[in-house]
Amino acid sequence: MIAIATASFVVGKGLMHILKELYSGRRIVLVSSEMELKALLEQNKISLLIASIAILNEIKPLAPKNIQIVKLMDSRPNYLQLDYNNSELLYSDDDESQVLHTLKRNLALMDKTNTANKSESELSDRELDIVREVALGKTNKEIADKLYISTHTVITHRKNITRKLGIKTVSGLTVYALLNKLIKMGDSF
Amino acid sequence: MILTKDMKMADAIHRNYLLLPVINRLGIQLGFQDKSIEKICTEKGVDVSFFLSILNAFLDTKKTTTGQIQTHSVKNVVAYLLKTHSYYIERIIPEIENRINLLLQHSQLNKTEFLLVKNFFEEYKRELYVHISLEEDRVYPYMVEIAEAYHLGHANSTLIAKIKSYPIASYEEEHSDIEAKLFDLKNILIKYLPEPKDSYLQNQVLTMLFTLEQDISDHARIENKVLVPQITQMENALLKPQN
Repeated sequence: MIAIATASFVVGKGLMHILKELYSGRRIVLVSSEMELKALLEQNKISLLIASIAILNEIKPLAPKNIQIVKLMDSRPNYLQLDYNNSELLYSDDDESQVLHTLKRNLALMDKTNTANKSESELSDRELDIVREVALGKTNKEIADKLYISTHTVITHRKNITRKLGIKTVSGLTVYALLNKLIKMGDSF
Repeated sequence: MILTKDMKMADAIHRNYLLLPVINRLGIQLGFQDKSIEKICTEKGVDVSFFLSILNAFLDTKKTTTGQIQTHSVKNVVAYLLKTHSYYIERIIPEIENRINLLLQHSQLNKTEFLLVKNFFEEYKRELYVHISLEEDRVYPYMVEIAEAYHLGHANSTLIAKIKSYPIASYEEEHSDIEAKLFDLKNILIKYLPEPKDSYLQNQVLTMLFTLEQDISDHARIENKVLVPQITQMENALLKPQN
């Protein structure tokens, strides 16, 4: 989820509009105070936070460590040159190309960290589907037919699942699926 | 470092306490005083060189160390493996079961979670027992038979037929699923059961599982790296005059 936190209605809505055009895939939430932002951070996993420097200073001690942050700054001081390498700051007087550049760069970074984390341990939605079917006792062929994929793909998914979970047997996967409520008791038999 | 006959028996245990059940199976109990390995083996009528090969193969899992066991008779090695089986069945499996039952009594787990673990272990146990009886009823007697025929220098036609239809290599696959289940059970306890208030009881179950795993892997290594290649060679030698 992407969060935008600024007291300025115009800036917030503007950023939201630009982000939606750049990146329609993810939920974007707009908040206008540090109170709202705190509540949001407590309840959701935010991957990218774009916040005014005033709000950031308020929540600083509470800000999660692994979060990617873009600071919204007031106008650029005269002595600072345009700096394409610094993607952590957005100035209120940045021009179109500067704004787009900073946002695109951050979206790319966010995707990179997300997929990196996912591929190492978390199961993808597709892999969860497969775990569910395996746990219910379906064969690779039955799973392939049900999910409209090839048996070969099912086998690849199963290899990745075993690697990610550290669980090798069908009954082990069933226990995993029950403990994680992917299936209910009684579904399987 | 490798154990030698002049070392003190007590020092072998200080090196790795997991040797305790191993030396028990070989016919030696505690109360070593300061006696050497050789002295205790002589007193108990245990072949010291066989004793050392088994212990060293347990400590040093390299192929060459385990291979040392090959200098001893198939019959003795099989007798040792049979004792490891009864250690699993009579001692370690019931003990793990008791400890799993404690998880419910001390309400570390709710009923559903408890049953998942318990049933999973039951299933593991069933497979282990099936595997053990296959080995005891068919594989080990076959190995001993082959070794005897090999030393006599010929095999009768029934044995030749057996070699052709069920050579030792055809039994090999068996171990894998049992090892995988034990591996899964460890991860279920380590990773996937909900966080307990106090891990002590779960730790105990895990400690037993790790101990069992190491013992079984030693057992399987002796079978796969010592007996199976040895028996395969003997099978080939026995088949030769037929060609």
